[in-house]
Amino acid sequence: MRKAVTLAAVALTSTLALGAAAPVFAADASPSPSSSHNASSSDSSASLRLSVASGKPGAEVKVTVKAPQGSTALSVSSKALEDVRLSPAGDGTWTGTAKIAKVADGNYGVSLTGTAPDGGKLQATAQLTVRAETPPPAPTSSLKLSADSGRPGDKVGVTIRTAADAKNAYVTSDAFGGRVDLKSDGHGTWTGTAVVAKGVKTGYYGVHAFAGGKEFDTVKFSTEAGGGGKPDVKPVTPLKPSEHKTPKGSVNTGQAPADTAAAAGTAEATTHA
Amino acid sequence: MPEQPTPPRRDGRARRAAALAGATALAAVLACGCSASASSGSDAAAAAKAASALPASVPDRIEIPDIKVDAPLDTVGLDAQGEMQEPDFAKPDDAAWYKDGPTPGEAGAAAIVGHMDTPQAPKAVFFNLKTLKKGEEIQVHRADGTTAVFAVDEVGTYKKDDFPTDKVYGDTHGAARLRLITCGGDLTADRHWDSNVVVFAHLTGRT
Repeated sequence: MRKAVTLAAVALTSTLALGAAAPVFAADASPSPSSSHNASSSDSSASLRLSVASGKPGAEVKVTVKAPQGSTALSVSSKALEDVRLSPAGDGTWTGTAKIAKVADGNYGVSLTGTAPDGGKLQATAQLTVRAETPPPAPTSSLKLSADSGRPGDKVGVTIRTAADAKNAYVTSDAFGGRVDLKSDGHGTWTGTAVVAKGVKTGYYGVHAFAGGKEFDTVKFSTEAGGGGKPDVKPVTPLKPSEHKTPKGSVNTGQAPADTAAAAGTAEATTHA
Repeated sequence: MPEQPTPPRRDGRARRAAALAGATALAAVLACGCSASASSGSDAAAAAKAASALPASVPDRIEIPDIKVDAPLDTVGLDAQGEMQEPDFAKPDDAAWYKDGPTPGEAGAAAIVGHMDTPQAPKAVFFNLKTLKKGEEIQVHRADGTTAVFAVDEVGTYKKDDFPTDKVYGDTHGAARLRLITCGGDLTADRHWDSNVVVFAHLTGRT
């Protein structure tokens, strides 16, 4: 295998001397990462850099090689790369592109070998992680208000759901007198309570939602000035005790989303205090 | 299961004797695992420190600080079969007061229901209701400007086909009680839940 690589590297050297890009290695022709170099021949004067640390099969990777000017037999190899194409970019830099091979998910070594102008060996390595499945997209942020209208003094629950790594979340609205910071549960849910501003005028106001410092949504909130800050009294009057009715049995207060499979708790008739 | 009326004032010896009797009764209740009997025990204990009932007033908001609930209240009534209507599935963050019963703070067992989850909301307003513990506070804001404050007595989970109607809605002998109800237990084939979680609480005061 090493002989085959060396032969291919010689071919590359010839091509590089002509200043043209050329395919160098197919994945099958590459040595395994562990056998492509040994510690005793490493040389810090060469470097190998990949444009990405991970990717899926078929994705393009940019390869940058730095080595002393006049180096020969430069070759880049990896089981995870195919169609490597290198071109001299001057100043001891070679660049090229490669396609990630159809290999199993995992971490792969990428090796650079070559010969320095003084005849010494050049070596460098890099790591490439191959993942066939695209990682799930970051969850989109969402904003929820417990009410879409209110009077001065009313409390409005605010919930923002973000990616778990969001640094902060808040809303701003003239209806709430400015900014309302929210507290995180550490898992991407931010909650807080906004209070409808005392001096607010009747009308519609935008509630602007921010996560990680960026605005991602605006919802409408309507206000009604005056009224002493008390919520609307529902058009319901309490019944006289003699008119009270006892419901029959249980009440339906839930239905799990379609992807829910686990039970929420015991089904036994249990109590705790 | 009717509960005991508020006990009259006793001297120290009588109180200790009553406490001992109560403890014995509670131990018996726990030993037999009879949740219905457990209610009367805890309600009787709660009655000793319960506040006087308030005048009727429609509630408009509920706060339960320990599970971070701060929700507006809609209303539910009875359906044609005499069963309590389900809260609005389109408002998973709202709870609902049962308007054909007492108002919270008024004498009797007032009921507030809320979803545990909905198809669109994996965690609805009462998702964490089952985690409430004895003594934790529930505040119900009312249209007359008062806030009725309750303390949790116990939390029970009951199969819907064996729901303890008397324990939940039965006569409180003039005491102001609150019941918070949501779903729990195991998922059914249609992704509903086979049980109800019920929080039993008594009025401790008003603000």
